Amino acid sequence: MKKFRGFLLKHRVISLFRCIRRRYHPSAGRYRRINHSPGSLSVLLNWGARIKAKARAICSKNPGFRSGYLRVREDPDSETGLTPPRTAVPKGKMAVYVGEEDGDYERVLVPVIYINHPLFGQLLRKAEEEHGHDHPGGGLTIPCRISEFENVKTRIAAGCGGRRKLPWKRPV
Amino acid sequence: MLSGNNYLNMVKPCWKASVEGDEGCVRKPGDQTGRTDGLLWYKDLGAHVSGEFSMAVIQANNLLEDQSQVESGPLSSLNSGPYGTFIGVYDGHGGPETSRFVNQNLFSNLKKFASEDQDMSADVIKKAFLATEDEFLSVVREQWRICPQIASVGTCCLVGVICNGLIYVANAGDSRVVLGRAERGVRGVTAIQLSTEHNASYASVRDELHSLHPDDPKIVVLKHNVWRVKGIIQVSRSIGDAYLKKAEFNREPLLAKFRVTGPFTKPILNPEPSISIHKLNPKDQFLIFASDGLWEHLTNEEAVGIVHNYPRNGIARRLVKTALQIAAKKREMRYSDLKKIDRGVRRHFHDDITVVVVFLDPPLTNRASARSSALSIKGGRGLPHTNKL
Repeated sequence: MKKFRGFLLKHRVISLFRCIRRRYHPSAGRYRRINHSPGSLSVLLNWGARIKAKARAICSKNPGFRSGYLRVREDPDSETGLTPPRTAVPKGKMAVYVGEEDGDYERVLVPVIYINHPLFGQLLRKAEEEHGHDHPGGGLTIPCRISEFENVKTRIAAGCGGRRKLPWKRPV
Repeated sequence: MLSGNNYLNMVKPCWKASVEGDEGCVRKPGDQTGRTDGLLWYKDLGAHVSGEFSMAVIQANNLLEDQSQVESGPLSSLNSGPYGTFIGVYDGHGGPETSRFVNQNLFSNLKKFASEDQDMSADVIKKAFLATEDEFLSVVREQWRICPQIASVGTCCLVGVICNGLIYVANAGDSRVVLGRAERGVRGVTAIQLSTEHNASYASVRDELHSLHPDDPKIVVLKHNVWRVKGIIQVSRSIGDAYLKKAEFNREPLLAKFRVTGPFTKPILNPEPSISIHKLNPKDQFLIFASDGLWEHLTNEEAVGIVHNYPRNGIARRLVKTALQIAAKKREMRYSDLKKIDRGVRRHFHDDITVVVVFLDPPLTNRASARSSALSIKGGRGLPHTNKL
């Protein structure tokens, strides 16, 4: 039930920012000039998206507002350390657990192809130093701040956006 | 009947062809090379002197650290000497150099000692292990100046020899061999583990280490919930790992991160294998040899159940696939997506896995095939970047 309340609050915070954004930049939401250059429009949209992402990050940092991600609760009874998947993972994605403290991780879905990216490789090396190759809950656990992780995710997404062939994909 | 010499001439080309065979190419059935498919190498079905076998290897490390071989035919350089099947699974750590070295030298050492004794015995196998260890340490000594990291590379070493109705199992490290036996009155096949493992996660291994090093209370340390010898390595026996055997290699120019703090007089790791001998029983159906990469996902019973319930052809590949499906499930992803992960990064999902399934067929039914089944096959040939050494 708690989870659900958090979910609603998140949307409120995000829509609040959306509202503020509209008030100060009415062009973004209400009307658009016909000869408006798409460049500045996309800058504005990006700005809006950034604020939304930030709001989401703030929400998830505050335990009371935790919502988009599910927290891992390690089951001390399970000998294997295997936690059953909370929700089905869609094709092409995998769940990773991000967080700095033991037992307090955010579950994040990541496109599988991101894992091969060198930036992700740095995170994995960090994980290896911390846990070796045995991840405490079964899922891939990455010891870093969620904001840092989101940052890496955004950078990888930006790097491969629009390009069909991923430049960092090693030829097999 | 063919005389010994004629027979040897007949099978010689087979030996050569397999040793120098092309990597990864598709060949006619019955050949002595495997096939590759991405990071997977497999030989779905082959024949050895006392039955059939199936082999599969999946690469996870950037350079494949697992090596393996099946040698069938004469087990010595004499014609009159012992005759049988040799299986080796070498799970390297720190790099591929030691496991490759063992793959190339252990069997020839075994043949040498078997020729001297004109017989197969536990002593012959032990001497072959120790000679291979000595040879590798002299390679380390030679290369120490140019490439000090060679002192930090080692390998687990599991060997099975089927000869004269006996199975010799020699193990140093944490690979495992399990026998599938059809017991009367029991449905299916029971799993009997034949190997003794030397992983610090077992209390008996920790006790052995404490008794060998009574003056070192920190000989085994629990680190991140894993028991490690000196807080470094999970296995207590291995070939290689020169820096844990001889203090002369536990110093500069070897990088500090590979070194043990404090001097030591006694070797920390032991190259001597645990050897057990089992009499072959007509109820014994098959042996599953595998590196710990398989056993971290499958129990002995599960593996034996799979081999019992599915067709022989490609059974090793099926075991590897099952382990990968479990690994994917643990990491909360699809098996089809796991296959998209590159080597190196793959190590965060599973280890290198080697599986050799050896079927023990009754001698009368396979006499004809036994005559044409002298072979030498090495696992993993043709996988990316395995040809460095």
